[in-house]
Amino acid sequence: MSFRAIVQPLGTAIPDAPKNTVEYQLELVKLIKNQLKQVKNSEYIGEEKGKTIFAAQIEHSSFLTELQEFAASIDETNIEEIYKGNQQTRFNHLIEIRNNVGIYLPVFFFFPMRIALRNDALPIFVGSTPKLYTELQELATSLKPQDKLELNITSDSFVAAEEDLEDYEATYEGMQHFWPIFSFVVLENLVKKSLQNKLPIILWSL
Amino acid sequence: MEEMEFEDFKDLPEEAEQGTPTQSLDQRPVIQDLRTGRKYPIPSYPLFIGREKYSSICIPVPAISRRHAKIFEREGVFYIQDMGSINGTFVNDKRILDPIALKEGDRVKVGVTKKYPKGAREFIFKSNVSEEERLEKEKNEERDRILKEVGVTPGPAESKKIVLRHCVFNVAKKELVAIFKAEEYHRVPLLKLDIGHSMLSFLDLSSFRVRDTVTMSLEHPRLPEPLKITLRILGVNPKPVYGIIEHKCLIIKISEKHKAILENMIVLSDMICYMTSRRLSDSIPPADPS
Repeated sequence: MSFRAIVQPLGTAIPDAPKNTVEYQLELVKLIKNQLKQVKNSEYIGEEKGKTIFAAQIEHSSFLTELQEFAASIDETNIEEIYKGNQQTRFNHLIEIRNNVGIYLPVFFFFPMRIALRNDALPIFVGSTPKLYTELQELATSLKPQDKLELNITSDSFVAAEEDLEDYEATYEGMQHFWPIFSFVVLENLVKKSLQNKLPIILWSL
Repeated sequence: MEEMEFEDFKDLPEEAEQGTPTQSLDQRPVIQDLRTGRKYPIPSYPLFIGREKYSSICIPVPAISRRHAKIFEREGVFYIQDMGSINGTFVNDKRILDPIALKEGDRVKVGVTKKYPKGAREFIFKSNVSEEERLEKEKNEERDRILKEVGVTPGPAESKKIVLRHCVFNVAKKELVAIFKAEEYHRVPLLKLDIGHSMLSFLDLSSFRVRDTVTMSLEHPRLPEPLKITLRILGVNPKPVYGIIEHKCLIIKISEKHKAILENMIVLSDMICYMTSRRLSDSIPPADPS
């Protein structure tokens, strides 16, 4: 299982995706616009056409989990209780995405949306990158990731195979909160690309 | 640490042990990850630790085998067994070869390698709820039994309280045509709720107008029903970014029933600050492109 993320328009086909995904994306765009109209009286979802700006591939199936658990712990909440709806958190756009699958739009809204497509059993998580960015900034005060971790992130991609992850672990052996900081750095990079280019982030697992 | 001998590993239980199915997960022993603090209740069927995504405790690092170890119950005793992992399973720093019984406070370590000694994951076994919690539970059960016998059902005040900050708040404009058309609620962050002065304020991205009448629905999974509060907008205060607008409202109507639930079941608390002005100014780009 690997974590994948791309920063690209929602109207552009996801690389290597099956053909029927295009129809699926178009229907999803329509539903997201409807929901946004209710929440903020706007249908803007970022640029709708263009190419992939950034792609990340990390061989770590629960890539976000440790960062989510860290955020929940500093908020004195519990992830399971948040998922059940018994607790709320200020890190809602970071924590409420489950199994690393969802979309972040480059527009601001307070609460993540869940879009149910007709044939899909599970609704799709839709979050906001500006809100996620503020959550990461809030987390940075506790996590203090600055200058700690240097990942081999290029201008358009970040790839980390199992061996790369082992090397990172060895290089930063003993670092407190290594995995949350690792996820933080990658996620912050994705969010910045999304905001600077007004493009959504699409996340999934393979 | 008592070692238990099995003639054949095939003898080990894979299915739930009889006699324990009614025990809920929060009463079960737990194994706690010392790095994250997360507690994993051990169910009546085996709990697997491994790199495989379907493991109960999934640790996706190369030092952990796909199916590394399992913890299971047999006749009320909890055992840990290494599943033939390459790097081994350790209990109190001793590598285990056969299934062994776990005791309160035993430390289980997996993923120990010479190359990355600090990459290991350590867990602590906690056998059950504390004695104090058990006595408290027995006391509550006894009280509930007596109340039931004399025909008294505990009211909302007896229930566990809900913290206001963990509730969800939805608003909809109250329209005259609401009789024919369902009101469209959307979720908003609540800033302040002052029942004594009948005042409330919330943030929103779509603006209501002063003197609009708005219905707020306060929801939580443990509430018997959503609490409906009717509000009148007294003032709107736009914030400098993202089109956020603060709405100050007067509570004009709440039914006696919902007021009683609010007073008896909900503990008032500070609200969650979903956005701080300091963080707003740090955000990039400074304004929503829309």
